[in-house]
Amino acid sequence: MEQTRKMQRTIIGYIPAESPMYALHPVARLILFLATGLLPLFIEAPEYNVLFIIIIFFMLKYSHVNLSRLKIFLPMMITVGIIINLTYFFFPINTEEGLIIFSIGRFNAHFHSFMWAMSIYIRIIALLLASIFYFSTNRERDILVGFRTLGFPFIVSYFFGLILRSAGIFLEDYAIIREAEQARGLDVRNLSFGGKVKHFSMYLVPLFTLSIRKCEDISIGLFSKGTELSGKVDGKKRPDYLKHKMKLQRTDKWIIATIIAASLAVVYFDLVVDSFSLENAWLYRTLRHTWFNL
Amino acid sequence: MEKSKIIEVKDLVFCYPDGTKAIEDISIDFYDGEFIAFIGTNGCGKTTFSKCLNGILKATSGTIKVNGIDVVHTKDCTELVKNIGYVFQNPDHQLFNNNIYDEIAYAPRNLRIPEDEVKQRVTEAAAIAGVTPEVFEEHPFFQVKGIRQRIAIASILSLRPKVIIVDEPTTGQDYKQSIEVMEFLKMLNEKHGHTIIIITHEMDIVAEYAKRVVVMTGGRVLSEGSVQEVFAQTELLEKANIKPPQVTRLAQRLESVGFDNNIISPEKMFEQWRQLAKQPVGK
Amino acid sequence: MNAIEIKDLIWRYEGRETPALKGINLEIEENQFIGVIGPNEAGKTSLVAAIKGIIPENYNGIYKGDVKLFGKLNRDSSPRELARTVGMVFADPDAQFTSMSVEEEISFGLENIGCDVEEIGKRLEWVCKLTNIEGLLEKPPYDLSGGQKQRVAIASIIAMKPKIIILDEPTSMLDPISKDMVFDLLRIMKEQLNLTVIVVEHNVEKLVELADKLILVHDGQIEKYGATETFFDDLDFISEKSIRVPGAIKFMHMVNASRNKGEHSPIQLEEIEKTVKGYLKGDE
Repeated sequence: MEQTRKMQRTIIGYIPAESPMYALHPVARLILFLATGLLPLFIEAPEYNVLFIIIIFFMLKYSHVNLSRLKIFLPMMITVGIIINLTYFFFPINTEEGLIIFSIGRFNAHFHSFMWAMSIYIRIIALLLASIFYFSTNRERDILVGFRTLGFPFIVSYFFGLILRSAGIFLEDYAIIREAEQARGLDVRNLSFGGKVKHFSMYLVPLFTLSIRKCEDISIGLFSKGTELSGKVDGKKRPDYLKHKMKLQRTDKWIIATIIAASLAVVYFDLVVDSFSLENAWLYRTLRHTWFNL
Repeated sequence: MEKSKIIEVKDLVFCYPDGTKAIEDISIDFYDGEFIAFIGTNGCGKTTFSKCLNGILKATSGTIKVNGIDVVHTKDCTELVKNIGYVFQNPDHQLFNNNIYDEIAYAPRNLRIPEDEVKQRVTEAAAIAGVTPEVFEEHPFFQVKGIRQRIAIASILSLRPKVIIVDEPTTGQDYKQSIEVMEFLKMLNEKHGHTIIIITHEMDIVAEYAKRVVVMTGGRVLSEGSVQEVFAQTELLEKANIKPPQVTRLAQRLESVGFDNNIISPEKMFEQWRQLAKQPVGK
Repeated sequence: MNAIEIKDLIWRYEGRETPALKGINLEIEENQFIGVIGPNEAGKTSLVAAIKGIIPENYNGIYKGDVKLFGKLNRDSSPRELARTVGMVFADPDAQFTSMSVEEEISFGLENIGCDVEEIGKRLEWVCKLTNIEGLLEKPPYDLSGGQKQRVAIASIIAMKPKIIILDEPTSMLDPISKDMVFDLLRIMKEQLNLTVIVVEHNVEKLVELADKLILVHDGQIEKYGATETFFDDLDFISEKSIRVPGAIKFMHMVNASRNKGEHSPIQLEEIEKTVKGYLKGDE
């Protein structure tokens, strides 16, 4: 009696059961992630990054990702925003212009610092959303195939896979251990923050016990399947079935080419033409004009 | 003899956070001093049910009373653990401390019991569980599995709970070890008056030790009663994907030649054979 | 030809006072189905680990004697050569599932022994059909039950087409339905594949339905090695070794002892049923 589910679990969260993204080769998805996540870091002008964020939202929607799950990231987004703004409020940069938005006591909110904080904040949010998008549309095996296709050696991707697998086992154990401690009369709600930290360290005892026992089992299991971590079998290159099975399609190649071209363009305009710097940004100049008439 | 109710469950429902129902509408009472077995395939809800009983999982609706305490609504989980203890299947999940003494003392210390009484309780629990004081200073990690399991049980015994739930006490154990742990639970039940609930897949163990059996399937109680009663219900058991012990199945295959369908031991079966074959008794 | 030959094998784990294996001599013919029984800590796992070569490769200790697989000393073989000859399935379904999907899990071993990708595709299809796990191919480990993981573990070994498959307590962590499914797979291995199968198992009742021969390991030694049919003739001897004898076999022995005619006691449920019915008819 298999229920049809809308979502599939992964170690990190959930992915939609069906999504147009799955038609793409893992490596195309990985490059898409690298581009959407990393390009905003080259771009200082907030308006372009807002555009990025909007595009990512469209992609999330298009890929059937459950947007209500984004709510759990909201407190984090707000906290990061507050911290960045406070940092630049108390430790301003480029103050020689003397453009002050407002003052509290002897601290002044400098215009340039404020704009810089905003620029950084929006870049972080873009990176965060791009990561959420990637991990909400890729299973662990897609991630691994993506890395392997990009040319990462077998051993690297295999260890990465083992780490993901161990993380899964670790989390399952962790859940049981917490229940076991509760059954021994520990009421976590009544603990202070320090107490909670101390208790977390207690969980480490059984977690490590279990890990040590499982490590032994896993290494014997690997031995018995004839694993040799050389990336070669009988002098020939180790076969890779999944990589062979998932071949790049025409669409994948087009998408990858487009992304690479677009990225090169962005880097060119940024480094050579300087189109994306904060001072040249439309938002920056508009606000500067409205507030200080400059 | 009228026995007092120790656990009262009424209209219990439990749903997981994603909305799937794991327990649907269970109402059942357990009595002080019973030895009960929960049986059913994986996913039938027996583990979820028993975790609801001691409040590890919060029931979605319905009531559970353990020794008069309202498990679903109580805020004070310390009162609860004094009455009902839960031993997990793998001892490695429940041993947190760096030496055996602290391990057994851990739960009473959580209840803020004065240290001299803790000491008394540890000595008592260790003695019952067969953990000798010589090893108190050693690390639980280095003990063999049988001992680790005893430490796990001792660390619950030190709470002196009325009810002890043990999840799969014999899994991965051989015959002798199984007998040892079951005899130990039997002793706790008969000599110390603990109500014991075991969750198990091993029907031979159920036949030999349990007094009352609860068969679960699909989050419901399909049937319950004495071991003989339950194992005689062949069709019902088939529905729950449970096979009674081999000797019971043999008796059921031989029902047409005069055997009872609720025999649970070879000795009993042999007695009946003697009657059927008209062999003189006492030979 | 003998698939396995063990001569005077002694093995002591480092830091232990007594050896785990105290002088084992054993010959197992090709294409036999062997059941290994005995109490925990008796040396069952050490024995099969020595056949697979895990001992001495993965443990420190003192090793004396020879283990030969099809005439070749297994300590002279590389892990890869050993993997091509012997496959092994373990008790814990979680610890032996090391990748992120069933498909990878099965192809992993095949990649290790150097199958080319076309061959891997063919074997995947074949083994999934054989073991009835076609629907699971894309699933990650945490979406599988313990029983499903164990079936995948067995499939991943069968796919490597070794000549010997060892299963060390493959059902000890499973619920009854999953146990039955694993035994179904064992039957398929016995009936459809040319294999020497060695199963360490506590469930004697199920084992006697499949095994050609049984080995009783006790205190680091082989106490008894013989045909399944007559293995339980001396029931007291078996019970003493901490083996749970199935109730129906016990009953059958009681009946035959009381008849005192020296009749042989069958061990499979159906035969016991037939025999008892026959006795009752004959007695009328």
